[in-house]
Amino acid sequence: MAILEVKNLKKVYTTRFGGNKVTALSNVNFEVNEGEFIAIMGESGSGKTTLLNILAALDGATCGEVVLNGKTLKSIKDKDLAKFRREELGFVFQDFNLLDTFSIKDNILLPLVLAGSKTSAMEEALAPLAKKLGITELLNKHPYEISGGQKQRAACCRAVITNPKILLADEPTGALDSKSSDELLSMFEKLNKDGQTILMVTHSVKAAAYASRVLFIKDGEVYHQIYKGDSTNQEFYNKITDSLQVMMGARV
Amino acid sequence: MISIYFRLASNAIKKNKALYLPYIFATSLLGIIYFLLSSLSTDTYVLSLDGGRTVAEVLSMGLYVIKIFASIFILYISLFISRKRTPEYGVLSVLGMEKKHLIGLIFVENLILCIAGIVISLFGGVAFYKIVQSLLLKTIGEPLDHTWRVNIKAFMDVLLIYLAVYVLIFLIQSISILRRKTIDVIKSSSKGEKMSKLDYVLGALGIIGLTVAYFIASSMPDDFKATKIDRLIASFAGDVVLVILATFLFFASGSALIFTLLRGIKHFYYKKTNFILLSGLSFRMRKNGVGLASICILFTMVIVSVAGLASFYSIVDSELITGISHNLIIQNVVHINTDDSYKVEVEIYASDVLQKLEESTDKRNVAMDVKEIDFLLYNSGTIKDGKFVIDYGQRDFDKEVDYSEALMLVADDVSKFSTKPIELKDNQIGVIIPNILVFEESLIVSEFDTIVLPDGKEYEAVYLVDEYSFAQRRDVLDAVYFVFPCSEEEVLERVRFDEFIDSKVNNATNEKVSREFFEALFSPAVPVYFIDFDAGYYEQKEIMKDAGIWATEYNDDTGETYYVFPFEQQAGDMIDFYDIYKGILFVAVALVVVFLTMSILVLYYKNVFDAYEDLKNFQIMRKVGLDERLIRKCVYAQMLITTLLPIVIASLHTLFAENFIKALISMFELRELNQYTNLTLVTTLVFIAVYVVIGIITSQVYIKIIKGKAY
Repeated sequence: MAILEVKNLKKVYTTRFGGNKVTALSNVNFEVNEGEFIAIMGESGSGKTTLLNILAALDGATCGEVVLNGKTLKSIKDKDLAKFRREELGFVFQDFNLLDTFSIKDNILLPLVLAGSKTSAMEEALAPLAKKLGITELLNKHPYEISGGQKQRAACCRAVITNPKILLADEPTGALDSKSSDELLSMFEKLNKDGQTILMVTHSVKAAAYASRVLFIKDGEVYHQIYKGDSTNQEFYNKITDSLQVMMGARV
Repeated sequence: MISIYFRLASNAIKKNKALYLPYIFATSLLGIIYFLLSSLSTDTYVLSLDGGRTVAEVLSMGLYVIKIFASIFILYISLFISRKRTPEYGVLSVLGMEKKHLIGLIFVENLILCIAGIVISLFGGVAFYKIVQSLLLKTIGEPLDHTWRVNIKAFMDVLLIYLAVYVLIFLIQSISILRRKTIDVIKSSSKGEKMSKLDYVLGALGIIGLTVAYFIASSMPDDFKATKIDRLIASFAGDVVLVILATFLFFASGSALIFTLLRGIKHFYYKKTNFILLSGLSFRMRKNGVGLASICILFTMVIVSVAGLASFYSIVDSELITGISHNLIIQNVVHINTDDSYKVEVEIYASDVLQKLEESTDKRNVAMDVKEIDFLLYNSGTIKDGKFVIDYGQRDFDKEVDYSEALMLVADDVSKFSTKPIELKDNQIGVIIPNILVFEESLIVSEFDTIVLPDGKEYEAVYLVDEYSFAQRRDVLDAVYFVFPCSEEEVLERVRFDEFIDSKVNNATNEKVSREFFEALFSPAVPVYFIDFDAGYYEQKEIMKDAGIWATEYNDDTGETYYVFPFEQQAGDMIDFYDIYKGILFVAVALVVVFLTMSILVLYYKNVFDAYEDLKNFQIMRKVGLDERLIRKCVYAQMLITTLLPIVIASLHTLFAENFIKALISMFELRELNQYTNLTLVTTLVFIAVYVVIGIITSQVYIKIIKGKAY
């Protein structure tokens, strides 16, 4: 069942006085099914971040539509957007975006507090999740006291504590060393096995190899996609590399 | 090489103009105020004015206070700005600048700022001085002075202060650059958000300190006269120091401690507004603690001193300042020679002076009220077993007995000083114990209900409440007044005055000593005139000049003005008082302007820096699902709390200072202190209003940045 449908999505940026127009996305179409782990790849400037911002309802599309869980994003009123984002979406960012003024625990609880959950319900949701992601020890620390990998795990915990329909990750390994990247990606894999739908934007082949499907974006369009199927991460890694080479070659 | 420094420095200042423009403006304003006051204090026109010398003296004392505050302020703000700019220096050092280059750059930056400040201060100062001088000349009706002169002393003063402060700034900045490692310079400020153990302790100390200080202040005894002055001043000074220290601790750590404790209450903390607000607040308060605490203390000082000054002025009366109950009190000036001649010479007849005063007031069309009272004689008596026995001091000095002086008056004279008639029976004597003596505790009179006169009769003592202004004369001995319901002759008869004088004359060892001499010595029936004019003190001065009873002398050695006159009059002291008050008022206004400038700047910088840091946080929160409305709510609430906390605490300080200030004012023997409470209330409200306006204006910059439109 498709949890996310992206149809004929187009995004054109215009400069303030209507002079230059830059087409970031020209015609994007794809679907995400429940329980999928999708990686979106593309070079810098290919429109990945624009796509993610539109999916996150942080930015509006010029035309086309995004349907999440049967609801068209455009139909959601401005004042309900924050609530929608909080309940339906979870975010993991490249630069963690943890608040220095909060402890790790409070950072993770932030979405629940914003949703107005009960204190007891928050504690119940936090404890097992923290244990699963291995950050129980870190809960009382502050972001500036822990490593990047630990921060990203905490951010991940914050993203899924509301049981979002889909977890959006924007270059989650971008600021991490390779060991921390591996740990984080295994965690994504684990979350995905437990039924979490994940959509990750990355240009790391290694990261993409953890996904079940990889979409390649080029010049504002979905250029190609490949499925992992039964292949191992290593085999899928090779496939992705091949596809990338084809894509690069096509440009030349 | 030098030109590169200048280019880098001027670029840095231009790039940070949001920081440096207000800074240059504020420091120049301080310079202008200083230059203006310094010029006025040596201005020839000011000195030539009536009392101008006094005003100038007060001004030059006030200059010291302004000098100190302005220097500290410039130092504080520049270090604050340079701390914020540390990352820039870090980037430059990464790009290959060595520490000595950085120090060179800092030197040039400070040089530019210093020169800009001096130039603007001087030009502004000269201009303002000219304006104030012209207004002054216009008011006193002198022709305008069209020459532009720069007061060299003021010029040198401003120059020296600027140089001293900037040398200090440069040294501190250089040392901090030398001590830092490059990497520390780049990583600026994100450390230290968590409360350390020391923070908890300091915060607790701040809260306890404030509580103790408030307790001490509020437990000051109401009975002010019972408090010894030195003890009062010592405990007031102690409490002030405690309050200042505790305020700094409270703002820097104490408030954060309270917010942290609130965060411990889960059901309260995990509500969306509280959640965002509390975490933001404890962070903000710790970052801005010192600045906010300074604002709080400045405002407390301003409110307390303005209210104190105003209430002092409003309750101060001529009697308090001069110790005299009427505009003028005259009596015959008699010279009693106690040398061999024993001659009694009248130097000035009061009636002659009165005549001249009448002529002058007629000419000036000023109403004059004259009350005459005859002080019949001083007498003394012993008090024993409830009886006051008049004995002309014929007592055994070896025995310890209670005794007192008494002044004899007749009821007809006394009733001139009251609207209430004095009703006494023939066997009664009215007794007045002057308030002023009671208040000073200088008169200790045992209780008595019977008065025994030398005629051998006993009279009933009827105590009259002191509402008679003649009783407030400060020159009299510590004496009670006896009021007789009969004629003056009858009184003298009752006290056997003639017999007393006879005995004195008979027992005199020197034959030159006459009866007249003794009568003058014990002053029978000396008329004293209590005079009031329907005119201001400056006109009174002219009237007294007309009557030839005003003289001033100026002493070149001490620079002080003396009033030389044979009579008691209020005008001299009052004019002195008003002159001093004018000077103090001038300094006070200047100080208020200085303090307000400081507060505005501190709040401005706080809001600019807070905004950039909060902006990041709010962007993150927005991504995880915080809606705009809640952001706006939290932004306003957080800003409101951090901005208003200083004035709230300052109001509390003022409230608790009330007892102390009242006690201090009461040192001046003021009995009616209700005014202080009212005036404090008014002053506090006015300054809260001023502060709120400052808060609103400076917060606009914050809101602008948060809304993402700024710069």
